[in-house]
Amino acid sequence: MTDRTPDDAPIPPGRKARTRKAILQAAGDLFAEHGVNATPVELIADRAGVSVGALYAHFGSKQGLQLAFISDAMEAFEACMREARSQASPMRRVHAAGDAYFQFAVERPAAVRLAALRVLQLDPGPELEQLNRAMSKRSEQLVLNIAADLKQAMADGEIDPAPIDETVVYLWGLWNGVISLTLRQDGAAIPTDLAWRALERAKRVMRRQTATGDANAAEPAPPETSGRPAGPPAAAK
Amino acid sequence: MADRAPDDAPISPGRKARTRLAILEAASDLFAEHGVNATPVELIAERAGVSVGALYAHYGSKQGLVLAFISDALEVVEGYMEEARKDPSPLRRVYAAGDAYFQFAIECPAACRFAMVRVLQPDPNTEFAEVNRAMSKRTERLVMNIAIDLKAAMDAGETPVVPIDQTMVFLWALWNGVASLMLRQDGAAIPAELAGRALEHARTTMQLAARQYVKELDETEPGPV
Repeated sequence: MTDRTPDDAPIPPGRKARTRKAILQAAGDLFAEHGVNATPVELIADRAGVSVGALYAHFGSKQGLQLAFISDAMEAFEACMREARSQASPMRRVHAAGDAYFQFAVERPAAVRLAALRVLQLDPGPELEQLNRAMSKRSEQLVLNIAADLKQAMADGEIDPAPIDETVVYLWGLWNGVISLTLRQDGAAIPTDLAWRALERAKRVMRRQTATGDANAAEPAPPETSGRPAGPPAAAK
Repeated sequence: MADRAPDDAPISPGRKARTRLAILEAASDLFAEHGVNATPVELIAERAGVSVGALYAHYGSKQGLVLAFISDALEVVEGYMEEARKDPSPLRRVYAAGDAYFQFAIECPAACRFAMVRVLQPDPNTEFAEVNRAMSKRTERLVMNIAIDLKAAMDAGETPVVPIDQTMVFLWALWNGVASLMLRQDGAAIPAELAGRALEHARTTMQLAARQYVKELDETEPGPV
């Protein structure tokens, strides 16, 4: 998929970009309609109004096209996540990121499904492996940002201190899980509003628990109560 | 065509069962290596040391073989779930179901991945329609049992009364989501121990939060931002 500089062919770069965009748009629509496997490149080219040769010239292979499609969506996704980071407090940033992720999945289901399938299936072969890894790196960066915010939220006392890796895995796993329950196509998908409510629950779960001083609290001893025995203070008389 | 042996007489039933098992084992190995969809029957037959004809004679089609493979895996998870349901405490049964699911993901990664991939693909594709039906049915039953236990845990006062549907989505999504972080194949998978600790952590915080939730029922109405 190396961009060859046009030697003598005077195709304006604007047109090239438009063709590329048209192919990606057609692919996205068709992937959403029929699924990736059931969408032949011929159909994509036809819908985009280009030749199959032109499609290959732009993307190399069907898999190259898939990755470009995901990569394109990833850019939009990164923009959403950047937007979420404009929130003032670290925990608000984390929650906004979760909301943005879910919203994105609702708006671009085909891309998100494909991205989810990408990571579950085997490597796409050596020629695309680099691109595939690059994609993983990009999503890893988003997760790292969330980890940094969570850490800051703990340091600021916005949420209770907890092991950071576990918290990130739990949150990221939960978001992914809710999204895939919403995007499944086997007739058992959950409605969007239920998914939102479950995500709201997740936010509540993250809130400080120690403030209420719940005596029934199963496990973590709030740090500030350590050492001080319960009971009336010994009166000095 | 003169003297055909009556029935399948010359092949002993023991040998037949062994061949069947060998095919299934080869298929399981290859599914784990390449994924279910990307494994042609020819490769399975070759690995099992049988002809493609013999494979079809035993399983009818690739779908038949996938069905047997998935059935085996589902039996593993159902076995764990059955074990989990022996606990007298409904809340512990819910947690044990989560552990059972997690254990299944560790022991049967290929089947678990297949299940995850299957639901994300459009209209249960006709090639595996029967497999899809079987999986949906059996999974639904497992989810149903968990919902029943969750309700019982609330009725018994083991856990505060919170909306069941949200809690189910929360739990099921959490288990699936964490399992899929562990099963991803793009080089960014998390180690199983970390996944296990994350689930443990989620369980503790969730239980604490549920208590608080009841206290704050009158607070802001949840919904999209």
